[in-house]
Amino acid sequence: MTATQTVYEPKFIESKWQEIWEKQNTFHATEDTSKKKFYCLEMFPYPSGRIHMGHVRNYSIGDAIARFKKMRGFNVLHPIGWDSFGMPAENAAIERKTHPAQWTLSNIEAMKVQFKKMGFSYDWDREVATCLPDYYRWEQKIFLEMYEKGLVYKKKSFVNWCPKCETVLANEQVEDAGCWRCSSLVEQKPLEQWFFKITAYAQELLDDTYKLAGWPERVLTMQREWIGKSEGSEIDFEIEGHAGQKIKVFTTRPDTLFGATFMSIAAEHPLALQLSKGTEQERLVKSFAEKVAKMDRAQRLTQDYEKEGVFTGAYCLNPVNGRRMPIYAANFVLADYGTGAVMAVPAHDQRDFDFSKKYKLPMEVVIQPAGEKLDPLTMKAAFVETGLLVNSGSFSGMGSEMAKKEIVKHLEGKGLGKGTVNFKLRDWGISRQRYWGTPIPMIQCSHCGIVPVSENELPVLLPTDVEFTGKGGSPLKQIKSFVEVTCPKCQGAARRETDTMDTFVESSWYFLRYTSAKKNNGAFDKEAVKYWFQNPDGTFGVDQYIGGIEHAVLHLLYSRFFTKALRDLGYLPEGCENPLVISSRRGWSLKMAPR
Amino acid sequence: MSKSKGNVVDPDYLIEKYGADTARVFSLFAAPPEKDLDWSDQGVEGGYRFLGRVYRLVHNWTSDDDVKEAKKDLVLLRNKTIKKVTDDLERFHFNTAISSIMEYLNVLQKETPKIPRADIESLVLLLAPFAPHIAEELWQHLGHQELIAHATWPTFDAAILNAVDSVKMVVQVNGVVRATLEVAPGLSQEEVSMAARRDEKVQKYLQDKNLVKVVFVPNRLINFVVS
Ligand SMILES: [Zn+2]
Ligand SMILES: [Zn+2]
Repeated sequence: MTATQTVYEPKFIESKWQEIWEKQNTFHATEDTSKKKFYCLEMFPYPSGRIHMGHVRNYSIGDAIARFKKMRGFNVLHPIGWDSFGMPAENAAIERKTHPAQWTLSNIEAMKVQFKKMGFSYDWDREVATCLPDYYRWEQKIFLEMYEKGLVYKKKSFVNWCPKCETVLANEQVEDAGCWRCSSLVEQKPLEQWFFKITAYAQELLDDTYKLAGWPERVLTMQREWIGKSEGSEIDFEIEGHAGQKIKVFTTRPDTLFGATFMSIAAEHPLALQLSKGTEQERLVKSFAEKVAKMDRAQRLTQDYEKEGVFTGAYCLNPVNGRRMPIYAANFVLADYGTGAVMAVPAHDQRDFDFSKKYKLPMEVVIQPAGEKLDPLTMKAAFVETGLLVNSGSFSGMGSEMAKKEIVKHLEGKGLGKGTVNFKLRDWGISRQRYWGTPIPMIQCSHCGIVPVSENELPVLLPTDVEFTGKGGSPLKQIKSFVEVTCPKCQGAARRETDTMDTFVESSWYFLRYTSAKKNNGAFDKEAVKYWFQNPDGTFGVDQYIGGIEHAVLHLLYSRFFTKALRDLGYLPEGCENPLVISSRRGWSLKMAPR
Repeated sequence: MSKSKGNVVDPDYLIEKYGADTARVFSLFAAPPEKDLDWSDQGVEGGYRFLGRVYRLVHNWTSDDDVKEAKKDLVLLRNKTIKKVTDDLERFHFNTAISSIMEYLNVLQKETPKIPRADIESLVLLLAPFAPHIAEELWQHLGHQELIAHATWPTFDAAILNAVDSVKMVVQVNGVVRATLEVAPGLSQEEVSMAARRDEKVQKYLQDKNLVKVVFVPNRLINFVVS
């Protein structure tokens, strides 16, 4: 027995053992098929500079689990990395005149020292930092392959725009109509943006929420709501006096079609201006559209504002009863949601009810509750339930559910509509007008259009000689040597894309990179993924995922999409569908301080 | 700084003053994972004192040469504690896991110096996931060449737990007592029903009968109503 001191001196003890663990590489994990694996995954931190108590707890939990499982004989994979692209580094650069790379890397070093001082049992050989080219180069490669497969596209769309930060904000980054970072009033701005086609997987992503073991039910519920599947139908309304022109709507309640008395279209809808052109309504519609454009998009999705509209001067025709329906431009219809037009049924939709009272528009009851008779003159609120049809021609007397099918069938027969499925889920806008992110490997040629960077030109490195003023959009735009390139197709002069990717892209696959973090000829090794993700019963998933629940909804959704895309690109082992399934009963249930 | 949100405290200050093991034990002990971490000086001091007590206990322990026979209730407590900490770790109940280690320590302290090696080692092993540095140090002090990180997690003997902990379950058929079973406490109706049906004395009254219903009082009684 060694005669060490009998006074507990943590400082001495702790540095002694940290040195021993490091020297012996105690927590280095290698694939060993003779042992059962245990993948203990923790959400990787943003390198803000110093760890806080939220980190201490989060990672102490992960470490207790990892050490416990190791002692129970598992081959434990317990990796760590840094989610190291993102705005704070750029803001620090502006405020402190340090380069984002320098700021970030020195933060990583400082936090690494702190993590080691905490004695966390990480396999540091698998450390990953997303801001380094040996990580993001593979993301660029995947991006190109996704582009090839039609999962990436560019389109003009309205974005939340912070005039002060000069950047696009995700809906979640808009708080009370203001920028989450600087509280400036957020504007709507049309901008060419890169999108990931997450909607191509909407149904699959929804179905999988019922197979995702280990996730708290409320995270799954929020995902389902975010995906927002609804079944209904598309219906065409002919516009009076504009032969052949139609307004398309999506509705989950075709049974109320006979009660549609007016039409609401988005103020930004091109029809609003077109229909009012030359009429005395033109000026009103124009100024209304401008006013609506200033409204915050997130707020528009809530119910928390005055519903307003203006008459466009035009009418459309109800396809089942020929009723002339005035067309209104309204602030509660979003141009990029659904078809940008909503048939208004004031007797059976509360928003339409309020709107019709305000603008004195007709109301017709077409659904009656059993054993009751609704009177449009005395109704205090819309009747939104299903019931029996009245005033609906040959459909009167049917129940709502049957009428939904019959009316759609009738419309399909006349070529005026069809049954459809609609999703609330929008494609994932990944363009960020920022410097500190993964460069999007695309080139704009005035001759050839959009041309992808050739794969052998990867990585597209972030240039380092950048000035940060905080003004004038992305600093990348100002770097000639970066922007000015030769078109890979025609060899003519072309411009490089200066948008960088949303940092959620990096966090959508880091857990795969951990399995083969040093691989220098690919994103990750398929066999290693198979070893660390495959469970004894043949299913795939991590054994534990620990992190803040507040990040769970979007991170999980985006990661699930990204891994579906990787699956379809042939990156994943056979049968690996949802790598973020958590095998243990308890997964993600922590509260963690904001980063 | 008596009570505030944990996140305003600089972890470096904790590590510097008390050590990483205390910071870890405190952050896991102070609140269950789904709750906010509240900071308290007493909480940290408490964690530090606990580790200090473990350290001294193990250091002052010389050998178990004069422990002739392990006390029965100590054997039971060791098995109970191992089971509890193991189950709690699987369920993410870190705070209750640590408090059972604390209770274990309290009992062992009263036994000083006549503590069996098995108890001293179990205490250190159970502490290892939470406070790995002190655990390595004490493990080495106890003469182990290998790291505690590579050591095997202690196991419990279910037979010992069941024997001491068993309850007497009265088995009735149509209200008449037909057998008394010794079973582990907390068994479900289904588990007790299976055990009872395996009993010959019960079996013959259930044979060829229609089961109408089962009355079940946990840890006390099961009554098969048949026709
Ligand atoms: Zn801003
Ligand atoms: Zn070209």
